[in-house]
Amino acid sequence: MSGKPAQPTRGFRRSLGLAAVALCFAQALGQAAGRDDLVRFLDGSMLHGELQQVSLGDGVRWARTDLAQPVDFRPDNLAWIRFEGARPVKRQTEPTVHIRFHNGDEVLGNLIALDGQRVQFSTWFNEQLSAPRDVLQSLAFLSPGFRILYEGPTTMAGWRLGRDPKAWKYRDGVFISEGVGVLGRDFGLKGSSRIEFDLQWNGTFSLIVPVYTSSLDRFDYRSNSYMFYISRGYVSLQRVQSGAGVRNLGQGQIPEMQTKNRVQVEIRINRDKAEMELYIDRKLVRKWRDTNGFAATGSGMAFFSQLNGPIVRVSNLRVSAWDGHSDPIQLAVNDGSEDIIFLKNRDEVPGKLKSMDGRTVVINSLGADLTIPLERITRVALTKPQARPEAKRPWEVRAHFAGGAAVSFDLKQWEGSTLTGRSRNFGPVTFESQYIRRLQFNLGTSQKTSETNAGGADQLWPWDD
Amino acid sequence: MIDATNQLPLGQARPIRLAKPSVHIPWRSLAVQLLLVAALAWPLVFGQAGSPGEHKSIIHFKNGDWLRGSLAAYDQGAGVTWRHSDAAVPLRFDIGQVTGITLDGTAVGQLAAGNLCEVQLVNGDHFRGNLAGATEQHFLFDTWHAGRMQLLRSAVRKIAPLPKGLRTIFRGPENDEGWTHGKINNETIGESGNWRYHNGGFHAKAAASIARDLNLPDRSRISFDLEWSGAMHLAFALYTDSLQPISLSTKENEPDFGGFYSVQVNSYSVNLLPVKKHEPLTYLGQATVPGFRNKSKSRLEFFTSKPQRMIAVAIDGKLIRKWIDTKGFTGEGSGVRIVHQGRGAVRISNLRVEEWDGRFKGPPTHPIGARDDLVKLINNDRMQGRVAGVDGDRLNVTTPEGGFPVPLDRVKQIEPATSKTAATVPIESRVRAHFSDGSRLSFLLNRWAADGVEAQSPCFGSATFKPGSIMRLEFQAGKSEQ
Repeated sequence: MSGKPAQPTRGFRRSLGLAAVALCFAQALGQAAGRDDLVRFLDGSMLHGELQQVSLGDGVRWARTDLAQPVDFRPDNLAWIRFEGARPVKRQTEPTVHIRFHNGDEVLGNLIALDGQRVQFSTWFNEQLSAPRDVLQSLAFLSPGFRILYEGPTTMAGWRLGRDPKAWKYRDGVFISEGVGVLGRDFGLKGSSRIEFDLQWNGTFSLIVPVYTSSLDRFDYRSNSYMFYISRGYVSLQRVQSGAGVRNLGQGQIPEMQTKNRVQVEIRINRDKAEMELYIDRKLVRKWRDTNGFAATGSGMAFFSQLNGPIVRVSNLRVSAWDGHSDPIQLAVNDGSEDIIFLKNRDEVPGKLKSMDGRTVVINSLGADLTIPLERITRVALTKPQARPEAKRPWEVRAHFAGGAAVSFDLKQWEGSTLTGRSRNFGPVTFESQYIRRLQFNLGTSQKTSETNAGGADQLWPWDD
Repeated sequence: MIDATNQLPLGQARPIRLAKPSVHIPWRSLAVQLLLVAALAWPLVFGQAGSPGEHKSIIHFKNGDWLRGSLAAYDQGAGVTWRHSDAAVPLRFDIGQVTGITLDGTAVGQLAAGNLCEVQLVNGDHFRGNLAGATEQHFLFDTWHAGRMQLLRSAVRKIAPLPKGLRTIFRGPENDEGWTHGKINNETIGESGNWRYHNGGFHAKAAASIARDLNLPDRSRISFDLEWSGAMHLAFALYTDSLQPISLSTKENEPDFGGFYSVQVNSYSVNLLPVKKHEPLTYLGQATVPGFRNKSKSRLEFFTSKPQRMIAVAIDGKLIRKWIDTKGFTGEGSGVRIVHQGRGAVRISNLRVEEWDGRFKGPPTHPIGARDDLVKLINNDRMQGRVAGVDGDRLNVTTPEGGFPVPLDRVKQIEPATSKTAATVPIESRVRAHFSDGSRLSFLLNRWAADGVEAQSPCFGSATFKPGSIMRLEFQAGKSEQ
């Protein structure tokens, strides 16, 4: 998975001859020694180590320095394997649409065409893919300026630590704060932006998130920035302006946080309108507007954990440039009997979607065909087909790529650094393992297992709920 | 808030299956046949790997990793041999990275009648056993988990004989049978849940109530280990007749219930509230517990005496508050209800409910390093000399004035001559075992096998413990405490 050259196949059981070859596509994965990958089971248990081999016959071979011999785990109870150091995918062109499928797969790519039978699109891993139309759940068109500025964390590199370098540490895709301290990074924020991250905590915590700040390794009221104060149940916003002091812009309540210890946070900042919104678990908590105009002058953000004791964990951080207007990557789930087209002017057009291409969409609404230019559309939500019971496939896995895409497929072979398989949505697929950040198993049940290292076994609540 | 007003502080193992490869190969029919053969063979291969209930143990590592399974074996050379239901062969871990093993031990054996004592060692370990004798170098105890043990005299901090004839009413939990899960209806508490039984303890995260009629006697001692993370708000209803939680803020609207005492424990204090329907709520007083702030685990004891209208709370062996209810004893039932208010996660284990003789034990006061044994009697007399032996239910004490046989039921506690350096196991090889009755002993673990746990210690020499008696093993125990 590290991108090292593939090693010769070692896992075949030669003594069993050809029949064993049929049973076992075992492959040594050619990884660097001492890797720090992480396997997590459905019961929440986890082991760091090194994935040595994936064999449809023997299972997943896992090695650790304190294990006398590598162990083969059957896939039945695996939730996922996280690969440290996955590389961001290489794109030839910037994606224009976020495509989501009913089975949970999602890709960023470019739409080629859609008709009554199939959808065609291109992605970074295949220039022309085709899928049956009824597997398609939604299309969300990305705003013109959409660009992912950061997606991680995957390392401490590029981040600046405050005075106490031990206050924050990186582990398994998570920044963990166990003390008072600052961690910041310059993302080159210029226009409007969206900042998304998962926040997990224990006990009573207090986290300050300065945005559009130039003060990355210290808490500084002399920098021009906006500071979100997030605690268990509350969020408030302060404008900090050099020479003008601090002004509270107001507080929002998040009662849901009283009974949780993990939420998804999204901050949207419209620089032109000096508007800021904070969403918790995709629900708008509070919108602020700075009537004095946008005052921040920096281009970075930071996390400042204020209390000693409680553990704060930040993961799945994504910072993206935003046009400040459209409702970006808002996925629509359509439970109705008609397709729906969402327009930029917030109108909705229900009907039967007939076709799409790179320029227009044709929908039959109230008996008439309407042709709508694509630039007027934000989202398309398609009707959900009747669910068909499908047999569990032990080797159906979902690869999560650095950058947000997730594709499930029946793993057929893992040879060297190349995975091949067959997707229910779009047939044969081939991936380079170096781009895979997480490989999910048992897709139906592993959704409930935390996507990151959720910490050691909770002695006081050793269950996953 | 349940048992308190709103404004007041609280008052698989899976069947083994073959992962069927779905592979396009030219010899498909042969492959299918082989798959069938393999599918039939795998359960045999893995036959040892997974009977239900066998994989509740957990091994913990220094980096936070953990894995369920079962401890198959241990020896100093090979390390820990661990069975996992998804692995065909056991895993063998070097113990260098292992911090502990939580075991699914629940067996609590019975001791024959004898001179039952609570024994506390200089290193903080403790256990219960029958005092069987004393030699020049040792005290002899009969224990349920390792039979006869010889304890080095200088390693024993305190021996407190337990009064004979006092009933142990409850010891556990071993499951939640016999307990009533209550339904909490209170908007301020939020989402309610249930206490869950796991590995000898009740756990709660969301607000939850569990209760049982224990037929509490007129004098009772309720003791338990309490662990918590984050904020802690618990209410213990004592001498209640209601197995369902009572919302104190709306108690007049609750179904009729008899009076009870609500011992309210939170992260910084303990409070006592008598609760009666149609009577105003008036706290009897609060005791602050500053030590809670820096802790996540304590042993709590509730002492109750109906005749004296007294309730007392001790934390980690220290009496922190004694309340006298001048209006009479409020408790009208004989049950106990434990209500978690939904802040933070908690675990209650090693719960013991006993008849109480009305006497409080005290922490040892005899200085470590003292050359003589100190025997404290229940009438507060003291004898300084040497415990020469045990003869039946009498303690032979030699003092400068002569030898005296003292009935053990007159002895409050023995505080032997001790040595601070006595009986320490090097920390690198120290294993601390927590037993299902709450006992704790540190030793060098030589071997763990199905037929016994072989251990040795400068304190007790060699001993073989019953594997089912141990609930948790800590490796390199005490390293973080240094």
